[in-house]
Amino acid sequence: MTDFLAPLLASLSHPISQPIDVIANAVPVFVAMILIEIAWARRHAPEAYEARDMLTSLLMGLGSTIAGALVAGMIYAAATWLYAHRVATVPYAWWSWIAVLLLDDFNYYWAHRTGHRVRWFWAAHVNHHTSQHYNLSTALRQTWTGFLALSFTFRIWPAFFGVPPEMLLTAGAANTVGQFWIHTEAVRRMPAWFEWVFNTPSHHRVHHATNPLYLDRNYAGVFMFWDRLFGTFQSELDEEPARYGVIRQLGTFNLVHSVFHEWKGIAKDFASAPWRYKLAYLVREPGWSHDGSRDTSDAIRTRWLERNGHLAPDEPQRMADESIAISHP
Amino acid sequence: MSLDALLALPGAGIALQAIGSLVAVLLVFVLVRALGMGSDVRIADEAEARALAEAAHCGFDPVEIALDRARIGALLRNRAGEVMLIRRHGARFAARVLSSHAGARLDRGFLTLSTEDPHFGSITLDLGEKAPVWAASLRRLGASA
Repeated sequence: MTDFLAPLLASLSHPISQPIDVIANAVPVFVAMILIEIAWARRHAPEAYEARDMLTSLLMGLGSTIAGALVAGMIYAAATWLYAHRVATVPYAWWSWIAVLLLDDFNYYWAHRTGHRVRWFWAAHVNHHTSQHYNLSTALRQTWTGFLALSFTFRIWPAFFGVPPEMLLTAGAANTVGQFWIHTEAVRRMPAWFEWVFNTPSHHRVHHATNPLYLDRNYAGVFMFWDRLFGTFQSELDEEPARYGVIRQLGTFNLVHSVFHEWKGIAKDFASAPWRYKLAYLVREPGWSHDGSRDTSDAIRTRWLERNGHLAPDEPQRMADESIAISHP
Repeated sequence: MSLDALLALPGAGIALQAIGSLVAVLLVFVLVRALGMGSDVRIADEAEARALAEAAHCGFDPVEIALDRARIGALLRNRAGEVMLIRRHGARFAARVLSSHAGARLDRGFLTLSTEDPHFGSITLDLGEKAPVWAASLRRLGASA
């Protein structure tokens, strides 16, 4: 064991000259896992895959990869600039790799949470949620406009505190790869200890669900304890099977519309709103409107809880924010 | 231009990778299509239509429901007079609350409906003798009714 660990730990102490392209290296694994899941679905859940839905997901993934390649240099340059003005220096070591993976996952949690609670960021992230299916191809349904939304700012700030950009970006890529396998219905539950520590298919099905009880829950990337810590955890309930997609389902497989529809919606609202409300259409939560004509996820969730007898109309919102177990009459 | 010279062009590596990925994507698409995956979903009954409406719009309580004869879509009206269109989308269903009757066309027992959202597309529902009744009632919707 020591013979194996010693060189590994030593290698983690060596600086790397550029970020490790973890995602590109994982692509063959992605493809193999998708094929295995298709074989599983054919036998056990033929409705889990729909050809056109899957095509849209994979083309969005391809487009996202191209968009990512085009802007990767700029993100790297921004992180490098921050590192050049750093206030401390984090050394390369096995413990710093672990710390940075953990810190990046923390940053992912907040980037992700903001991606659901601020419409500007949601416009980029919504792409990932537009499939009404939940399979491994959904994992690849990724944004083309994340750079435009400036979502990367949540992830690169540690460079200013001395985390080498190469280490930071490698950790970010590893985080993305680590979330691939959770996009499946083929895995019901992992062992209890694993479900407590890590994000799993069960937890992430909740995140992708449009059931009012599940809306805006389970933002975690790899480690699940962030949601438990920050009050956004909801366990998957057998009596409440997940329905996937977005509140207003797109109803189309059109690739361009799938990618840009929320940006178009923002532009339309921004142009037509009275001046004092324009900014709110960028920074308020999705579903917010100045005339109250639309529903936010909080409003839907509260209405559902009231209708199902879990929340009296005058009970405080915090009740709606707690992870609850339900039982249908 | 030789292949080596072509590969030496800036961005050639990414372009080649993108083309290879596109081919792989299309192959998987063909495979899933050939396997016939994505079941032929239908709305079983009014109870399922009701559940789909609730899923699409929490609190939408239909008091009147019309199912397409092939069960690929449905129209539902709630107590407030709002009308929801549910239609099949791939192996799932999608819904819209109609805001006007502008997209409604009646042809005997067939009612063709489109919404304000052009991407949502249109659907022709076979409602039989209920079609004219629903078409007439849709005229009460929205300012253009």
